[in-house]
Amino acid sequence: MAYFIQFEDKSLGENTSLATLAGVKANFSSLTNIVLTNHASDLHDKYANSGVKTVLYQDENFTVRDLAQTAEFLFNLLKNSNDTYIFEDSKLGNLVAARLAAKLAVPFIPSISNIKVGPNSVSLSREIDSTKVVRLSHLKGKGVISVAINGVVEKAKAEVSEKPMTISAEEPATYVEKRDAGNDLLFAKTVVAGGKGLQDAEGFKPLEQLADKLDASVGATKAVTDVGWLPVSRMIGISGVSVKPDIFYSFGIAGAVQHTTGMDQSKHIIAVNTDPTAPIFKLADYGIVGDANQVIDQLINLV
Amino acid sequence: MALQYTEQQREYIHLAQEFGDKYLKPELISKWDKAGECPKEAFNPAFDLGLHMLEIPKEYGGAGLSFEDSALVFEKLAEYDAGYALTLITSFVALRCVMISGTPDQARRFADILKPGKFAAFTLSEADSGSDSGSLRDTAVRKGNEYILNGEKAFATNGGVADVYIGVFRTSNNGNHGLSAFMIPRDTPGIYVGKHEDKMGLRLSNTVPLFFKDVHVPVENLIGKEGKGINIALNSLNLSRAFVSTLTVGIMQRALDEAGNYAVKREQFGQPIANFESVQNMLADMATSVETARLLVNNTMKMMDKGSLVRKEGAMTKLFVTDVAQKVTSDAVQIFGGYGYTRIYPVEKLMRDVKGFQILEGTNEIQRMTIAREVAKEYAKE
Amino acid sequence: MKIATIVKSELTDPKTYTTHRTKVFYHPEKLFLSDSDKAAVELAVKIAGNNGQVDLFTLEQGEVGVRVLHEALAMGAASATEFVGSDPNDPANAYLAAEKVSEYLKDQGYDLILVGDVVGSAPIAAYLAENLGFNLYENVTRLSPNWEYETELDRGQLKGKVQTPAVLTVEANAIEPELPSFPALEAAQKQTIKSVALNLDTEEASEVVVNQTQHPHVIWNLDEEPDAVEKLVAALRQDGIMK
Ligand SMILES: Cc1cc2nc3c(=O)[nH]c(=O)nc-3n(C[C@H](O)[C@H](O)[C@H](O)COP(=O)(O)OP(=O)(O)OC[C@H]3O[C@@H](n4cnc5c(N)ncnc54)[C@H](O)[C@@H]3O)c2cc1C
Ligand SMILES: Cc1cc2nc3c(=O)[nH]c(=O)nc-3n(C[C@H](O)[C@H](O)[C@H](O)COP(=O)(O)OP(=O)(O)OC[C@H]3O[C@@H](n4cnc5c(N)ncnc54)[C@H](O)[C@@H]3O)c2cc1C
Repeated sequence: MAYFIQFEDKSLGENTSLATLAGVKANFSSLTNIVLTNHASDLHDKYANSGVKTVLYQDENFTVRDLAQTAEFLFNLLKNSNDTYIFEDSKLGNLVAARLAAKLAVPFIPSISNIKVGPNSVSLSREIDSTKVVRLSHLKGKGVISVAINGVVEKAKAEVSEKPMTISAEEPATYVEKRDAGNDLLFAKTVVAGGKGLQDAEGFKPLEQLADKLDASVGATKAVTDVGWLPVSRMIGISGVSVKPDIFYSFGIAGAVQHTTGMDQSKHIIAVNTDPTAPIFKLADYGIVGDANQVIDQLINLV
Repeated sequence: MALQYTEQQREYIHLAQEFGDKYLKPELISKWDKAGECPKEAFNPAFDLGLHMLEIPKEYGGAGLSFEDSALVFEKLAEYDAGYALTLITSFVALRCVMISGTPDQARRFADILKPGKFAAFTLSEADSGSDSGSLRDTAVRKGNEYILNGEKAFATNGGVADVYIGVFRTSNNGNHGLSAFMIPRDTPGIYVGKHEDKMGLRLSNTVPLFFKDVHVPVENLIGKEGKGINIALNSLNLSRAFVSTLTVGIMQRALDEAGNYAVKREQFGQPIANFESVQNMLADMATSVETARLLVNNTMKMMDKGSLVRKEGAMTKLFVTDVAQKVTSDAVQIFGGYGYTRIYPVEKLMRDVKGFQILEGTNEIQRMTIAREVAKEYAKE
Repeated sequence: MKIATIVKSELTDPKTYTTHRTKVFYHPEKLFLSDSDKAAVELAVKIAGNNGQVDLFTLEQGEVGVRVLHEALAMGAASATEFVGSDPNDPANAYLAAEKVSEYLKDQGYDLILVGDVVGSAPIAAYLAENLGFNLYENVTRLSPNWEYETELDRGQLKGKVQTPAVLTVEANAIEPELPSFPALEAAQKQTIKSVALNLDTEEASEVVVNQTQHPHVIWNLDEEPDAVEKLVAALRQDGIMK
């Protein structure tokens, strides 16, 4: 048996995505989704279609800002069961997970990107930075893990129940939202970059729109900044900045070394170019041979 | 890397690397290289770390590292910029020279000047006296308890930034044996600093002519005995040649790293240029040269730690290392093709910087003469 | 104020692990004190001031343990201790190691325990706090002289006030550490390092193996497959690349 534990705190912008729940579900046949929340009535519909049996624990005083009380509640709820407790590999997920594991005195295995459920143990792999190796741990008994896996959200009916929890209204910490979450090129988790293949300055407007949707930062080649379609600060490569995002989208970029030197450390690379022999495709995990403007438009509609 | 570093050495090298990453960023180096000058404040962090007195014993306020360990630190710094590193080395080599040839009191006075974060320079060459230092003409004339110095010195590394000089002047017309060395505080009246040379490379290193007009120096500042100036200069050269070789290894390592990284990325004819045999041969030769050069320097440093004079070995090291380095840096540019010839990549600078090391601290032709003389002595009949 | 700082190394060079077929080679000579631990030590030394004391501990083993302790000692800590017999990167037995470490630290009168937040290491802070009955503040990106802290979340920050005794995990950007000097490093290398055996039962150890998941390399042609963009999005979602 496994529990996926998440928080729906309407005062915080830190909620778990349904895709993570879907990814976990794909690995554990018997899974219960536990949601601690301060607005359960808004959530029934969302989880009724998640395909995972869900229990909403409601108290209007609940807030994840009180990490200690949150962990304490989970501890009391789960201390007598003997299962795997799964959190999302986010900052918040890991904070609560670590506290719960400490209270239960069981292992906490964070940042798991691959799970294999065996008859007697769960095998968990965690990527070791940018190396070619992973750390493989085997969880035999009770344990807490956090996962960075996603799945495709399929619509399937699921039972949703609501239970009260009792939380005292303390405010040990305040929450402040970041202004420009992840929008600077150097620190961006996602970069969408455009090259000369976007044809003209106009071609960058849809790209910026897409960046907005993906919470990404916009980058460019020298060919683009040279003609002034974007400022020089956006140039990626030997003469500009080096970036190392999780996802790098490359539109209408040929893939000259002077450019790729600044982006080839990205975790995932997706390339779009009309020329199937363009060198950028060699670096790509996924690619589309075709008109970049068209692909950008479609992407904007799809995500 | 073939050298099996000790754990301590690894930690020193890593600290040097952290220093370089933090304070010698490529943008800054390239800016200072273009300007042909490094601002004095850029050395403040180096003073804080004790780099300007790295090899100097603790009782003189230094860090007390061995020659061998200091060399590894400066090799790493030279990967960032050899001119910057040379500025620091020149200071502690001058101090070391006073420690070897001067009195303990002179050494302490010299060290006390440098300790808070000041530079020193060693000035021997003149416009008409380079390789042939025995022909130098600037004079020191004794009057009572003072010497009065007059003349013009050329190519003084650190001359414009130093607070104290060691200068070699003529005290009698006895050729090589008529020279004497002096410790000269920079603020002594009558010293003028000329225009900084617009050099091909090592552009972060300050190189100036110095003018001495009736400069009064007390007799306590005569280093060693009168007439022994040339020996003091040669002792100093023994040390500085070894360190110049260290910097050269750093430059070579950088050239190899740059070229290697580029060769696996740059594609022509549908594949990385590192796949082509000619490029592979260049890389293989470069890597071999770096290894042999590093080992040679390391051995010389170990001999210096044991107190050897290394007249022959130091000359051999400088000759070999700075000669092979010309090919290594030139091949790095070659591997980069047209891009290597531009200032966007750092390899052309490495080639410019490393050329200086065949010339300064005695040209390589002069090193050969030194080696030949030492070898001849070994085979001479009794 | 008496402060304990638990330090470790950080993998910054991907060649720390190299592979050949299914074999993994480990190169510990590439590991040095982590950036967040540098911040933790710097903070500790600042907070301790002239009257306090900073004691260093590490769960790193062998040459790496000695190395990170030397680096941290050079930054101004007073003493150094290595805990022998666990793997600081193995999450599987971190809770066991933390239990022993807590036992060791329990009666030593520490007001504060600082731990760098090192990506990829085994988390021990929460166990220490729980075992010692200390308050816990994690992902700390700022700590003001009047003890106001900031905890970094993905899209915002938690702000509050630290109540001692406490365990803090410190982010690399919490404070800019100064580089130690060469004389300080040289002196640190001569300092004695105390060794404490943990005697763990390490039955549950993890293993380091070659990553078998390969990067995909799929190229669609928009002319031949008009739904290529949909396929792309589906694949990205499947791989968890797009959320
Ligand atoms: C010394 C030096 C330093 C340099 N430094 C940098 C640097 O730091 N950064 C940098 O980026 N560049 C740098 N360059 C330039 C670099 O060599 C390339 O010229 C540049 O990266 C090319 O940019 P591009 O791919 O946008 O343009 P192009 O080379 O013109 O490629 C455009 C691509 O778009 C494709 N395309 C055309 N139409 C479409 C369409 N409708 N839809 C999709 N694809 C389309 C084409 O097939 C082509 O592959 C440097 C060059 C030199 C000489
Ligand atoms: C960057 C830089 C920094 C310097 N820093 C200092 C410093 O700090 N203090 C200082 O005193 N000097 C310094 N010098 C001067 C340096 O030591 C001299 O330039 C060097 O000794 C050569 O002297 P020269 O330039 O007069 O050349 P010359 O002696 O005129 O030599 C010209 C050429 O003739 C060759 N040659 C000369 N004599 C012979 C011979 N007998 N046999 C064969 N070939 C011969 C030389 O090898 C050379 O190729 C510096 C020079 C440079 C470039």
